[in-house]
Amino acid sequence: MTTAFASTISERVSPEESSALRSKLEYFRSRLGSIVLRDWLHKEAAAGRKPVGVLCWSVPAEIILACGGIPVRLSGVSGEGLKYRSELPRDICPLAASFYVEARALTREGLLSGVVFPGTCDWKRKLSGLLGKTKVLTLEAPSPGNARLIEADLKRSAREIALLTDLPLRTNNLRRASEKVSRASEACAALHRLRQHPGCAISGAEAFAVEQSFLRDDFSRWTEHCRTLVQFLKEQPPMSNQNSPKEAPRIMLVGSPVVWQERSLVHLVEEAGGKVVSEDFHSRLCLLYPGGGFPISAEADSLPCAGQPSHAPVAEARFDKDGPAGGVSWQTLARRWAETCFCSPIAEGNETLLFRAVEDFQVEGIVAHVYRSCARVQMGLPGILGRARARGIPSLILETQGDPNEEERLRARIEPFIEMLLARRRNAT
Amino acid sequence: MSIAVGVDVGSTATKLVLMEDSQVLAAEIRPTGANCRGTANILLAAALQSSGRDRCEIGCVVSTGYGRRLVDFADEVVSEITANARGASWLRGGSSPIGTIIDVGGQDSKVISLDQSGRVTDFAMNDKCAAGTGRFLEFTARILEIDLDMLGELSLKSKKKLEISSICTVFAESEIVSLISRGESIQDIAASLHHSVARRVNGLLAEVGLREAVFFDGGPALNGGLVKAFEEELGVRLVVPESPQIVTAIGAGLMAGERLCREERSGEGTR
Repeated sequence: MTTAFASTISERVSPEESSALRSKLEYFRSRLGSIVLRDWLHKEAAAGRKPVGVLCWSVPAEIILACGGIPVRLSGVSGEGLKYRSELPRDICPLAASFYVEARALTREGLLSGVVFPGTCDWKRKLSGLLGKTKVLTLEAPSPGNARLIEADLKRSAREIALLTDLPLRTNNLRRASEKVSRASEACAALHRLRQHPGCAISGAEAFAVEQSFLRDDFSRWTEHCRTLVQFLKEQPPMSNQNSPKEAPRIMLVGSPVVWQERSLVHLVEEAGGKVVSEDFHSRLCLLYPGGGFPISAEADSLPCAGQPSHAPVAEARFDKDGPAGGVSWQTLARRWAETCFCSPIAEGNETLLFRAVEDFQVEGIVAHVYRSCARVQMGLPGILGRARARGIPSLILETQGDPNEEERLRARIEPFIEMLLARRRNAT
Repeated sequence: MSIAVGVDVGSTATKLVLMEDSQVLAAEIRPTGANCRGTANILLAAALQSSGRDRCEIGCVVSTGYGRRLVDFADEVVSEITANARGASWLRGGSSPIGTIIDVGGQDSKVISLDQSGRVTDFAMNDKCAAGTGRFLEFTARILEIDLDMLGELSLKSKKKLEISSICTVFAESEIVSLISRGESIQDIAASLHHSVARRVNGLLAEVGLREAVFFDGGPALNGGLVKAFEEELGVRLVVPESPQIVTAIGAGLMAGERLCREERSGEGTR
């Protein structure tokens, strides 16, 4: 039996190129595994550093680093949480479930000093209770339009992170930490930017593995691997069949963040013949379009970081009187935190970002993923997708619980969507 | 080898058609059961027997539906949306083109928007919920202790409009029990159930828009009460084919025939 669309994108480049790409990607895939993670954490702990679990990559990693901690991303990197469903509340968000499982196991092994996550939804707030003896810091969700409040929350959080690591915030470290985060973010953005080009050889599933491995290793090491990968991809000739009408329709994945597993939604879309060229409403797109998504205040626009990548360190920042020394302003950190928080209320600016990315990435269709338990995304999506349709961009909403048994149901929806996009393209040409 | 075969393995029933020169030679339907592969093979044998043809005459098989990948004699798989659109457009023939297809299946409902040339321009499907599907009617018929086939006939005799929630199949049971205990007639309850399904599907239509002509297929389209409920809720006349269950299988069969033609032209063969 043959299926019309079977190969992933990287299988379509020459075998030599594909093999070289695979070897470059191996590092990132390995970082998603639990054995490699534990080896790294043991080494960091032996060196006197304090691993701190974080739920997502918008948590202010600079402050954790400056307090002698190591931010370790625990959510969205394993489907294993589902195995423990009987221990967890019914209908728990799969992201919260994956975070819970990793945080619980690593705490029991003595590998975590504590965990930090944003309390942007009920499930995340309930995690505090579920995690029992683990030291937990719940960050307040950034409030749109209120820069002072975000700053105040961040300062309070910095004091509490210092309590988690038992080490004070060293202001001289903050600039170095900010630079590390900035370099890693820029490498991530460079990879994302490459995916705008139709001939880019990396598939969405492969790029997904790279981005999910962020905060799963030392910042500098991860950044170096990411830069090497980007350089390799830049040197590749464009894929030969890029202009063929049979080429995969370009898909943007939006909505609830997808948990990494061998058979994730990204894989299903690409197996059905699509190419996932971009994902997320906001947290990754804001790396490409700094300052475009989250209006903090007019005052914030005049900050030295305006117009620079969101994670960029500030050379000569202004400091308020109780701000830290070391060249990084609280406003900059607050802006970075607010801009990259995926779960921030969906603001008008976010929608502008989305449609800008639709054009820049030549998106032909939007696949919107919603966890049943994710009210925040459920509320915001239909309106945005309706406006996307009005602009002639078809969309598909998929409701999931992150369960592997849902695969066939999802295929039954994704495959006709891809077939429809191909038919539209044929019709247009 | 000139016979094209279309197989639609649905969650409730499997449908198979044999086609030659765009004519249906035989059509078979059977409950899918737990063994999709076995059911598809039984249907193929039955269709060959009823048409007096031999298996070696089969040139191409296209499968569709939930269990499409489990058909071990298929040469190609296509989604049921594409196959349904193809089958419906072909059945509609030279009449005014179909603008919207409503397909109520055993486990899901779909609405498909087509352009003038029969291509899919948009679609919407129900999600993880039996409300608005054939399963909802099956479940509620059991509560009313009547045969599913009788549900439509009874509802056509309804004289009074009742309200039933279109939100949940399970909670509909308690609503039905309440209506029975209030002394409402089975006919009126049956009609309200059909309206509930129609309202649910109407929600999907809000996503893709409604354009005439509106084609209604899937097994539940045989239910006259449901057709009436849809027409009242949507305010349009529905086009219901003679055999609404096999429309998607016919679409798959047509696609198998097209593939056969391409292969004959290029001198290649599938089998």
